[in-house]
Amino acid sequence: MIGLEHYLILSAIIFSIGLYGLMTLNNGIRLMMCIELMLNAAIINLVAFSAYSHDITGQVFALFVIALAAAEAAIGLAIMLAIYRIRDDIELNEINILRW
Amino acid sequence: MEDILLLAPEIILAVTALVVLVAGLYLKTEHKVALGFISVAGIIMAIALTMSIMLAKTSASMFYDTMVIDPLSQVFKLVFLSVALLVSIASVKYVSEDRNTEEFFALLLLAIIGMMVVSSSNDLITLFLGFELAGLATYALVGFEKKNIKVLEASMKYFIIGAVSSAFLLFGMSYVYGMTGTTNIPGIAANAHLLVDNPIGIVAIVMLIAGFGYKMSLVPFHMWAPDTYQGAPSVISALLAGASKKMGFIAAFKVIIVALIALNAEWQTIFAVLAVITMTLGNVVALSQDSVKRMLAYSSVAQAGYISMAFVVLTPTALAGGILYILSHAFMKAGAFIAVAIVGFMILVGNKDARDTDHIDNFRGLSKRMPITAFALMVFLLALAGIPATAGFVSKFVLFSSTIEAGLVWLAVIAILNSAISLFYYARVIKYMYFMPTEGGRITEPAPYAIAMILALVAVLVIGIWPEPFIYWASEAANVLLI
Amino acid sequence: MAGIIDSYIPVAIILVVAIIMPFITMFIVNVLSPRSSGETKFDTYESGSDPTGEARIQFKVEYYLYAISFVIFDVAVLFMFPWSVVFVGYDIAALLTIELLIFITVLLFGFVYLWKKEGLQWEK
Repeated sequence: MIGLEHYLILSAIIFSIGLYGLMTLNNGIRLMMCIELMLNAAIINLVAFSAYSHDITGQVFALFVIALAAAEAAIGLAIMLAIYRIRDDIELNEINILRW
Repeated sequence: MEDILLLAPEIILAVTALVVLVAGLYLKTEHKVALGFISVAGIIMAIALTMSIMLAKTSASMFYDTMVIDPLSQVFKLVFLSVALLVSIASVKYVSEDRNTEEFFALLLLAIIGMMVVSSSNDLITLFLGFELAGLATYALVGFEKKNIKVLEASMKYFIIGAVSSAFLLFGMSYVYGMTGTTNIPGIAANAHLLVDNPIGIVAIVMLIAGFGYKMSLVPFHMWAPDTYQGAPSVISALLAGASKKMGFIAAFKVIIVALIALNAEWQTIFAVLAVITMTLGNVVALSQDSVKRMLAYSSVAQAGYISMAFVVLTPTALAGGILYILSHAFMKAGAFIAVAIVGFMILVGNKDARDTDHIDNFRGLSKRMPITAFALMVFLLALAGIPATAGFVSKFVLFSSTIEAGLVWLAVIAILNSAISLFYYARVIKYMYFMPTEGGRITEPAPYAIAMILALVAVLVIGIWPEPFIYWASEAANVLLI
Repeated sequence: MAGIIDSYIPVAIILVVAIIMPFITMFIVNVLSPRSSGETKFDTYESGSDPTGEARIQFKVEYYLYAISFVIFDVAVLFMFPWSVVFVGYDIAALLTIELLIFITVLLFGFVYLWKKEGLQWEK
């Protein structure tokens, strides 16, 4: 059988892929996809724990997080779009007015 | 039905937000000033209700034990609501002549509802939802001037780092849920021994601290704070520093102190290190800033370091000191940012295309041009430095003396040295305002800004001169944390 | 461990079939299809009319905003799933109906906002 640890390893790998992408990529849309990966890794964790401990709470949590991830993507895309309208690209390395 | 009545402040705010949002669609731009008054009225009603619940000393848990009402939650709700009141009064001027006024006030109210949900939450699900509701609303608020690339950059940095840290937070929460089998905070506390000496427990603690630390702007996670506070509209910086940051603290109090007290050996060490580097780096970097908003942002980072000493000391007095510090910092910082907003307004009146309105050169001779603002800003800065007869002194005194009582003299010494450093950069602004010549005549502050600033000034002085009731409520709140 | 491998046998069969099938079809097409050559054969096919412009076009970023407002309302349905699961058999149908009505009213506010702000309009 596939055990709980398989799911946990899977989610840890997905989380790390998201984090790696976040640190290496520059394009706004790709960063959003990486953030989505990290959130979804946490959702896998929640659902796996919920299924293996026969407790429904984790799945309820997962439903809320799915809705929340959509809202987060909406806000993020709106910000990217506003930047795109002014600058015609969303390469984030180019945006650096604020510095110490 | 009792349950619903205890949540009346939140419900009033939610209804106000929806009414403002839809009413704004049907109003002409010149009539949209009314929306600001509606929001202020809603917030004042919510404050009155929250106070009446607090003074009745109600304690209740509701919605299947996912929300609680206790002194802790009410004190924090009042902090958030007061900051919201200051910000929304000041914003009546800031967003006048803007055609998106309704979005501004609706988002502001939703952000406050999110923070109030966090302070009432007794379950990881409600806590995370409130945390994100406040986060999402403030991401949009920071980017409110959507034609200004500086504002958008601030908003984007805030959004990306915020979204990542909420992913960290959720991942940590999922481990806590998996190991203890519940999301209820007292339930986690009862089962938390399962996490002790468990590698997953350490991973969860680190991820939770990373997630909360970003909202609190503790040092390794503070990178967004200076950029966002500087780039955002000043009234929104007041909201972020005054309220949003405090939400990070109440969430961390609930999850780390209440739920995971069994792991305190691990997280007390982490917080000791974080507190020391946060206050030192914040103060040292603030010394070399020419932008006043950026200086205030770094000072805000440093203050987060002082407040997180409460996690290290962990005695009832220290926690009361931390909560008192949170209360007074909310007024000092919100007031200071509103004063900076007034200076920005003054500069823009003189020159419509002026950039970097928060540069320290713009503060030259402010005492001649705007005596009220200059005096208020001086009081806020002295309070931030911890000069007696202000709120900053009282809260620093309670917090530092409890640290010495607990035997952590080294920590108190570092904190006091840091306060001394901070006096340099606050005094520099005061020197510019009072001892530098200027040209340009006297300018009257717009009424909404002036009212908000004077309310904050009164609060700072009242807490400084008559601190007993505030200390009483802070210790009532702290008692909830250490059962 | 053997259990895991056994449960993946159907996947393995599909994998093998998926790899072999394209080659078989390509072979059959090669053998059976008639062949001719001419100039129009190598043109882009656009339903019989003369081809114009590039085949590769980029969607405007606006499209994503349009899509995301769909996703937001789409995801709201998610909350109706747990609602419908407990609707029958727990004797709380009246309370649940009121709750869902409140939920939909709030969504409606969002929809009115989207409509009046011309969020549903293409090419603002």
